[in-house]
Amino acid sequence: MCWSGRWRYPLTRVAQLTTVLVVLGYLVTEMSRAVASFQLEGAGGGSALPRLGVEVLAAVGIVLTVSGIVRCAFTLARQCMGMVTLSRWVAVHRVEPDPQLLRAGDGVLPTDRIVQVDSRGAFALTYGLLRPRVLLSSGFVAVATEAELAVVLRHEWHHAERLDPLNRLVLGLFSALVWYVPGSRRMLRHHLLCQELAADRAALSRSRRQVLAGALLKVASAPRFNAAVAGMHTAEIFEARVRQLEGRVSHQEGRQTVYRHVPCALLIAAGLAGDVAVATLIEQFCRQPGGW
Amino acid sequence: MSSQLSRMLGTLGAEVLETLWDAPRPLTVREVQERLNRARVEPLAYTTIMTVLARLADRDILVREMNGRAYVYQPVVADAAELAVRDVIRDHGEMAVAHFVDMYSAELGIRSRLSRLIRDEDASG
Repeated sequence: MCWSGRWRYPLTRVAQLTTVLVVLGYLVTEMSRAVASFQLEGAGGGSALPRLGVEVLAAVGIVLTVSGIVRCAFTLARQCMGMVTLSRWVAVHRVEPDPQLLRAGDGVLPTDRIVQVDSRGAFALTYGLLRPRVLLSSGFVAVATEAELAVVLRHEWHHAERLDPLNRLVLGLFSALVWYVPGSRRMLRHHLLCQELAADRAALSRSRRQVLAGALLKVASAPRFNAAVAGMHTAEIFEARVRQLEGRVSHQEGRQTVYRHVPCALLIAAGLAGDVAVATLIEQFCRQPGGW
Repeated sequence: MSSQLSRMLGTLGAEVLETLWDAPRPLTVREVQERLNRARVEPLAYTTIMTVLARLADRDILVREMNGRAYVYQPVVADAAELAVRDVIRDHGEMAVAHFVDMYSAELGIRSRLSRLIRDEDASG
């Protein structure tokens, strides 16, 4: 489907630009009309410019709101289906955790939250919304040292303790709802970056930089995607994590500072206010005698 | 050949991927064809293999790089289990999962920086 493929980003950008252009066009036309009316008032004439009715703006608003709600519902259904499928996959491939992994996790996280799966690949992740678990592959457990496993577990447990998967899902749903607001994807990306950098700082609180660098190197040295294919988020976040290890990340960059929250909150508020306004408009229209 | 892999990629796709897993280095289309045809009565055509490899690369299961005048192909997943979890997360649930590193092979420059970090700390004790 084109929406989930290579066309997704350009189509979203085109829709965002169209939204901005329609709103700006509306404002410019109305302002021009007001200026023209003011100038022609003395001659007793009205504006020669055609009136771009509020109906156009309302129609665009309705289309955007409905598409946002549909997108949000679709995203939620997709994510829920993914969680169920992933849980089933884990149940099939789950093996007893390696003694080395259990030793590394001792004192870091409860043993029942560690899941090891039988795969030669080297990967580690946190999954689950309300009771997240930390999943590591046998391939990674085999190549990593006990200290590296401990640092990875600490990183992932930081995600689990703060319910980061749930946070990501909620923010992703917001992003899907107000997809037409420019900057909504950037907001999501910044949030992911902050989460990853915070998890690395938590991991480094009781480990040396060298150990985390070693774990990152082992996972990111496998033949996988380069920056162009992996997507901007992954490459950007990885680069920022390395910069943080080198001590080159500014204080504001990796933290959820208040000034960074303000534009995000404004974006979400603008999107939600737009949705509410459109809903009110539809309700008023329906109540009119000649309405639906 | 695992039936799980055949279900995901089709019989020929699974065979091609297993050939690449068994190889010690990335392979060209011709090399994959030679390896697959060793045990076959009816040999597979070059274009058939090329189509399968291109499809696997389009699905982000293989990476394709130019080596001299030919493309070489290399799998980005280590086995069927990793492919399955990658597909599940990519198709459905990437938002509700926090990866340590998400299917990304760092560029040489970044890997060198990580290696330098390890060396520097080793040197400083």
